[in-house]
Amino acid sequence: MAFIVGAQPNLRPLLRADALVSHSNGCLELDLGGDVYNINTSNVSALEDTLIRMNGCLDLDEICRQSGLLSSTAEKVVDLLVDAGAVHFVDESTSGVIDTKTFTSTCRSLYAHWKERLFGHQLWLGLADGSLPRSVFIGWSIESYWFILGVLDRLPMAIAHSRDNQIKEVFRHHFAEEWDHFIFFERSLDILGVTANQRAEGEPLPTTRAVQNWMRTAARQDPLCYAVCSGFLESTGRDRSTARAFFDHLGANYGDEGIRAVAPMADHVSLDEAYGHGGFVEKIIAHESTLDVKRARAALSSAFGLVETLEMWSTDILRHYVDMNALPLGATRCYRRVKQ
Amino acid sequence: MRPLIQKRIRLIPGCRIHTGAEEILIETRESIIKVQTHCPDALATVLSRLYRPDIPLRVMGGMQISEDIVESVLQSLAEDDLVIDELRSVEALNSQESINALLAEARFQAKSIFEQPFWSELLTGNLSSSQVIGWGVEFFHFVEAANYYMPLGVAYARRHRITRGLLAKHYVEEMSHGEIFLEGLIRCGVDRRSVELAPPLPHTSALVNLLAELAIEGEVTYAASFAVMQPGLSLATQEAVDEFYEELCRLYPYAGPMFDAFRKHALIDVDLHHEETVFARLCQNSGGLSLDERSRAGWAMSAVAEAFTLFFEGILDSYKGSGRFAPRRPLIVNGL
Repeated sequence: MAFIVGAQPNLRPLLRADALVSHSNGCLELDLGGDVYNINTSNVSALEDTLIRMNGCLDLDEICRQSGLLSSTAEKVVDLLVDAGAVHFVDESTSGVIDTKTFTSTCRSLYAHWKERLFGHQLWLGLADGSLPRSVFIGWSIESYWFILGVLDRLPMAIAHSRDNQIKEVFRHHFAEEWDHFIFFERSLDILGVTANQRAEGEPLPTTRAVQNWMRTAARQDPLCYAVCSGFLESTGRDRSTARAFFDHLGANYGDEGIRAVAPMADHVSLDEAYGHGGFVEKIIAHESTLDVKRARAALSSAFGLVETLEMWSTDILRHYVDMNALPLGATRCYRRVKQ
Repeated sequence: MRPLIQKRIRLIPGCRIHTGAEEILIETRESIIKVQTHCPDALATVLSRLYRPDIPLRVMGGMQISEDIVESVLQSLAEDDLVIDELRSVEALNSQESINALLAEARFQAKSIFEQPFWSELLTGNLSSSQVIGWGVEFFHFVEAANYYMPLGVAYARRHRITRGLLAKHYVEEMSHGEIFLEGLIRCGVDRRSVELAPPLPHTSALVNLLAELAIEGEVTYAASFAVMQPGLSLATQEAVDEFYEELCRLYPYAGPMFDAFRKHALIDVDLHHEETVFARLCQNSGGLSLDERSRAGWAMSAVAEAFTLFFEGILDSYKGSGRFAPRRPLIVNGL
């Protein structure tokens, strides 16, 4: 994939897939994982239309024809966004290999952006500032329990599908350390009054299942896809001070029971850190010096798909558990009851 | 046979209950059931407690309401597949009754999908062009994904192996249908390659991945998912198909070619009699399902209905943006 500086009408610009574009009061806002750029323009709708059409398939002339923006304006904006790292030009004739150090540093950089974006979701902000009802806090704890329990659904799939013994060994080691971590969340749920019977009878939300199924699909596709997805999950607990601050806020917001319930979750983060689970991707590709670009790209796409799935999960938890009828857990739930 | 008030009853989530002075209205997208009663509030309370499955007689405890009235309302709702007796299929005394119970469950689950806001917004002309074309793109991804989960369904059919020919024929009938939708989108001015490279919404992927997992579990859960996807509810004739898509073309004229593709596909399904689900034929050909299989089939139907609810919610949420449709962008990192 070539990178060509400067807007040229016959090249096909690509706006980063993880960039969020919106506008208000005549100002276009571009959010790149917490780095926000504002562009004032007289034709904000056309500019927004132009940016979201930059998908690497259309050249700038065609994009401007569709959006109605002047080509000269588009070229200026593209130049700015190329400098900001938000846009680049796609040339599919280039292929080959990438060195693994570049790949892992790309992963780390993307993980940082994606964590900002995920934890900027209303669910996580609302839990941290205590603005969400207690039912959502309990629901989040329940779904987190199922998510952690889901290591039994996903990691064995990755082990079984790894042909490379060195990669298989990393996954096996990880599984041996990780398989029973649901116990931490069982302790939390016991404190919150979600009984073992309820847990056995209840079902994860469809989006919790979607996260597990996404990981199972990645594991069947390529161990590297699984590793890059898993690397993102592990990275969310890598910054211990941030994670502990989140749990401190969370506990304090939901009373004494909340404080006691989040303590085992915080213990879980500490244990993962002690195991060094944050460096997962590096371990998986430690014995390779280069990666095929196509394979590397598929792995990153898979990881970004996981991030979007986790955003969907966050929305689902918020929507489902804000309804007081969601609890207590039962064998059949009323999913998305239409408002009267 | 026990009356419904003694059974474990579940009311469809999309059903809305309104009370008047001496009446109660139970409203869905397709019907309004009006009940004259002296106790509308009590009846509404009983019904609203059945959004989570429960035994009506237990729910009614202490209320001033006649059992006959509640039973009569439940019977009316059951005729329209707006309530189900959750244990009917596992308590069935013979094979045909268990099949009937499971097919009723499939219709109930399918109806619950069509009661979600996407459909009322669509049919009142309130969707943006981005949402309408976005629906077409996501549906293309879903139809194309038949080449992922359907071969798994054939390959993992291990218990009722006699049905593999049926499953294989069904897959062959569906395997090329993605192109119909893609052509429709292109005729709406959407760039072919942009659609092919656009990653599906996570909601669409969640649905497809679930169907793959149900296929891997085996032919019962796999076929049960089709019982929800092709339940034979209302569009089983050419006239019904034509009428539905003509109305959509009237509401969203810019998407006419896309709806022609939808219509073409629906008519193929009518010709192939896909309303007679592979699930019903699997049950009949295999002489009925075991208790465990019935239970798993019911679970699969519920999981598929929830996944479709999410699928349509994803379209409403994710394409609500600025109005005009733009395909989702693939993740290609600079330098890679």
